[in-house]
Amino acid sequence: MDTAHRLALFTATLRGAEIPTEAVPWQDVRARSTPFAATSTRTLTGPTRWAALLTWPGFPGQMSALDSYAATVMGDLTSSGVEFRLKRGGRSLEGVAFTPGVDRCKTAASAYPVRWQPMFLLMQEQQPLVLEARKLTAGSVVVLAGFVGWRYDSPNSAEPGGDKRGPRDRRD
Amino acid sequence: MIAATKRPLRFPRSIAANAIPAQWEAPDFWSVPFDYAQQDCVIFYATRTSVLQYEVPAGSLVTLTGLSYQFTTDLVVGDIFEVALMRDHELLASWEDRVVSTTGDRGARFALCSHVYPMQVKAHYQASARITVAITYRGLEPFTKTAGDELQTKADVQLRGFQTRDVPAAFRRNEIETDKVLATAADYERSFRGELQ
Repeated sequence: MDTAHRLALFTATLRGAEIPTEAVPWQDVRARSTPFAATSTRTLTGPTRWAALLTWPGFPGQMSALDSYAATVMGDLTSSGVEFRLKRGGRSLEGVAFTPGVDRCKTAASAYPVRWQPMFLLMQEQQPLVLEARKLTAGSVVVLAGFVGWRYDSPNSAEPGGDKRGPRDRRD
Repeated sequence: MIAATKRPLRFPRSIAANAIPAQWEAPDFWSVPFDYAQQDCVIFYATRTSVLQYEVPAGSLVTLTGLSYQFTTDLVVGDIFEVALMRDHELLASWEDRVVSTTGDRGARFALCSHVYPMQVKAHYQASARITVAITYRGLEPFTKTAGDELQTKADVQLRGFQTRDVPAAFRRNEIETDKVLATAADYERSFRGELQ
């Protein structure tokens, strides 16, 4: 291998080298991230008390990130008497208030499909997130609800479920 | 007397560098769109039926960003079906959707996604991995249909994402072996097509 060839290889190496600027895993998927989706499109017959509609389970050894959600009904949510709330670890999620009668996931009562609403929420393992619903009035309505996100290997070895591998092995 | 002053250090005002995101985050220069569709018959109720199967070519990576589906026959409003996304027969995600209309665009008759607003699944498939999408058709709730009841329809699954070339893991970790470095753009092209290993 002569000098010119070595120089060409070196230049090509520099040109093709990657600066490790990958996003942190809760911003976007990584190579080893796996998507997670849970939906429920079942009939709710009222009047009912608060009942769990959807559960995002805590994944042992992994953290997870909720990317978007759907919480609405078939037809008009305003007159359906259905209310939603989110609970994490047995407590209502702070900062999230579903105003009764306000449909965030549809542009019109009969506009389908639903518009998934973005929501950033990190979840530790063993910390399930539950979407609860209740119907205050009598009658039946179909509830359309869903969670979409992903679970990932946490890069922080100090936190539960954190990555115990070295930084080199973590990159692929 | 003029006090001796230290000459200030000269730092560059700005530093510029090419930032290349990781391949699974965003399409890189060598990426091409991945729009793949496949259809297959869904003959029976309550039976998980593989509708789409795709093997990622050697030397490539596929990142899915969206998934949508339609059926070629008129279904019943209220029918519920499950969609499962798998990687090498490992279940990545599954969800259920519901038929809300029997008129109009066949791809926009469902509650949770359509071809215009696809299901946002972000999944990463390495070279030679197999993408499988399976549909289990349940019917109206309460579910009385069994695997012996015939449905006789055909499902069409559409995938969206991007496909990029796979680089050797050592290259990705900056443990570059000089004899394996691709020297020219033509080498990149051949590597992408799988001709250069």
